[in-house]
Amino acid sequence: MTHSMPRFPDPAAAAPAHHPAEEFLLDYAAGATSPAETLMLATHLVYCNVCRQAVHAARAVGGMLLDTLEPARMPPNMLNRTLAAIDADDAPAPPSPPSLSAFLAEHMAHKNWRRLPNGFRMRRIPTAESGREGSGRAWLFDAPPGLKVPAHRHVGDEWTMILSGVFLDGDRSYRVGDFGHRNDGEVHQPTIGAEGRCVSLIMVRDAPQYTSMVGRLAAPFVRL
Amino acid sequence: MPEPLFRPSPSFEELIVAVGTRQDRSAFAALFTHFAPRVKAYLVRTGSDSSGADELTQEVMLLVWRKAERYDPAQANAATWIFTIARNKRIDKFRRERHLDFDPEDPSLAPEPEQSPDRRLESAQEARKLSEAITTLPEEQASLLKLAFYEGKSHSIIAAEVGLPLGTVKSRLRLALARLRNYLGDDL
Repeated sequence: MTHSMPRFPDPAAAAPAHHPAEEFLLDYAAGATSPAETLMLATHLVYCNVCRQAVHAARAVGGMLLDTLEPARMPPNMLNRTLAAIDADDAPAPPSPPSLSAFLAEHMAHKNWRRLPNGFRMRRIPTAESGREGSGRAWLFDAPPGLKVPAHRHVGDEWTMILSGVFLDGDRSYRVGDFGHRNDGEVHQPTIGAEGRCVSLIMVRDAPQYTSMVGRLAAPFVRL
Repeated sequence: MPEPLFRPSPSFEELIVAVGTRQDRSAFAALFTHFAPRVKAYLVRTGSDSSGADELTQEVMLLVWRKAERYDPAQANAATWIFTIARNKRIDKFRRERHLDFDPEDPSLAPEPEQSPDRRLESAQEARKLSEAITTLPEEQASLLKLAFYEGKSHSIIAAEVGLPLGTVKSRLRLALARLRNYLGDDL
């Protein structure tokens, strides 16, 4: 099967309709998000001007608070030592962080995906050390149109970032750039829209318990 | 346009531009004198011990020097820009995990709305407007913002530590952010 490479971000996409809650944008600006959360939020920010402005406002709060902190006592000659380090340091400017398009192109082209017979494939995105509570684990999902995901109940939160196609969850449809959030304990049975393959980033904090026998049977395949 | 020969009080934004465009060491010294002790205070509050904070502060200020040529005063005021460098340095230092963040300068980003020509000036005034706005926040909201930024804690950790229901912490932070954004008005 060939997997056509979606354009990231899709320049034709409308502005996102579903956003992360503001307190998560604040956590992000304060540097308090886990690596997996950072991946999800940073991806949404690439698509969403509204949330970028919220993060900008939150960062400005951080800057203002930094500016009003009681200054700490510095060791003597710290400025001269820093200037000496500048003179000794002829390295070029530090590299910029990767672009989302480069990051996704690399993962989409990677050979090592977990593939299911129904045309679904998934790939773990290494973010956090395993076993760290609350840090979250992230995957890239690439699902064929019309796929029904078995109903499952989440023990932890699930975040979804749509990169191509349409993801239908309950009465909501999520399109490119949209950020979905399912809370701890919610049961859902998402399906993939008929429009085309749906590529998404998914983050979960804990393993969900499946609510039906079919779900339990599917669990080893989906292994969320 | 020729540079003025003498500027009695260049703004911090202008100082960063001076470092970026002509490696101006006295501009850097002025930035260092103001920001380094505050960056250190921030790093100590977010968990560095004093000597570790000295070393990290020096690394942050080195990054200020090295990144200054990319600084755009229309995008962020000086304190916001330096805060973001310090925040990222702290994350790099204390997180062994891979931390994926994306380039805010990515040309494929969704387009920003048109900026007015005097946006540059507005951005320099942002810090002053914000500090006014923060003093108008109820203490219960301001104290949560300080916990988030001074200690680098997520809202769920803050809720657990101060013993408030998560929903209360969320609604206070949302109210605070809405008020600050409203105060900044059309700048954002």
